[in-house]
Amino acid sequence: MSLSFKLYLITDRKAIPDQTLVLEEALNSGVKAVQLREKDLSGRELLHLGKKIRSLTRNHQAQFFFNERLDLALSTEADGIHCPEEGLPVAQIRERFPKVAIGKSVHSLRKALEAEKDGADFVTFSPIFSTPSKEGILEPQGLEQLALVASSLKIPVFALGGITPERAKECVKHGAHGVAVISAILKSNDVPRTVSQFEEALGGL
Amino acid sequence: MKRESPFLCVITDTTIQTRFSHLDLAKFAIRGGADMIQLREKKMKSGELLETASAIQKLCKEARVTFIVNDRVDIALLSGADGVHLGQEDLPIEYARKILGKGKTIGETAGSLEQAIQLEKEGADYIGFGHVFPTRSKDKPSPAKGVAELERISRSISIPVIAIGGISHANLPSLLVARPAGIAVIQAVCGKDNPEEATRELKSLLMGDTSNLSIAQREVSP
Repeated sequence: MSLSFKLYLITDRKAIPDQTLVLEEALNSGVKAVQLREKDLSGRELLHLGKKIRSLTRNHQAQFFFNERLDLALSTEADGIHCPEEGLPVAQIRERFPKVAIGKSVHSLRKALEAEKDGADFVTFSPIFSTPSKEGILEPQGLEQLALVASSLKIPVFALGGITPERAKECVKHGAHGVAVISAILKSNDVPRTVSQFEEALGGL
Repeated sequence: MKRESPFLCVITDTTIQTRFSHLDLAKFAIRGGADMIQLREKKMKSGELLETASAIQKLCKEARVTFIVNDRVDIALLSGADGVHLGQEDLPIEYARKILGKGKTIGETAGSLEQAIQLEKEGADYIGFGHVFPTRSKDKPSPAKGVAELERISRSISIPVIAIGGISHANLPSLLVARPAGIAVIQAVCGKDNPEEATRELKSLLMGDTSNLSIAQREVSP
């Protein structure tokens, strides 16, 4: 699978009241990949939300990834699944579903190498910078560690955690294929402008 | 006419007790003679959940016991379980069927005859009906449905009906007149000092034997 996106937008319905509208605005602005990550919804609620985002992403020729739940990824015809570090094992999914795109969250070089070996198509490496969502849980990895991971892997590495358009440029300089963001876009006062800033920093979307 | 006795499904639970893991409980239940194990776990990370499910599946396969995963169709698929048990908040049956295929068992909980009929139409392989008796396993403010309603539903649909909810060694005999295809328990096994013996005694009761019953089994405080 060749990854046709550099900016990976992750959902968080708790960040903003009407997330779907912002997602649509981001897609209208050119975002090419969305990951649905909502922790505390039931299977049926995830199905409804997933179908909605599937249809939005399809209309914009954008890719759609489902976090953690393979059954929901299949049920919503997602392009792929994104596995948390302690999620379903990549190798088992790969073996059973050769065509499903698989992203994997990693927080260390060891886990990044393991993900690549298991057949992941890309990893998100985090947190690069300190971020409110991971405050006190994980120490920031920093750009040097990002450079080490990116140079050790053949598959694309996305920098995640506290990413802004300015920092995205630094991440790319340190070997990142792209960046994954939540609040930088969801909480932006001017989504089209933020997206175009990322586009410039990343050399594409 | 000889009629088969109802089968016994033990649902593993690590919220009402913490001494035994899901795998422990599955082992005990299998040794005690359970016909079906259902893994019900809402909080575990997917990776660990799949490991647990795969370990239980292996045990069940060796013992020729049916293994069902609650809610998570993907865990059922990847662990090689015999099927999945869905609640009203989980994936609808048609989606689970697409993922698991025709060969697997899909059950869903119904709280009324109308729901049971609807689920049979949607392609459920069995219905869990309850709660038959008052229960403390879940926060269920609705009144118990009772044995008469269980009997009515068992007669009204053609797929197996499994009675669930508040079933104990003491009230199980009173349930048998309704002729459910099976019964499912949590507290009556997981909440006991000796889950294996508790399973064995439930199994005896289902076969109509009350001679070796020791209801003296102490319950574990939650």
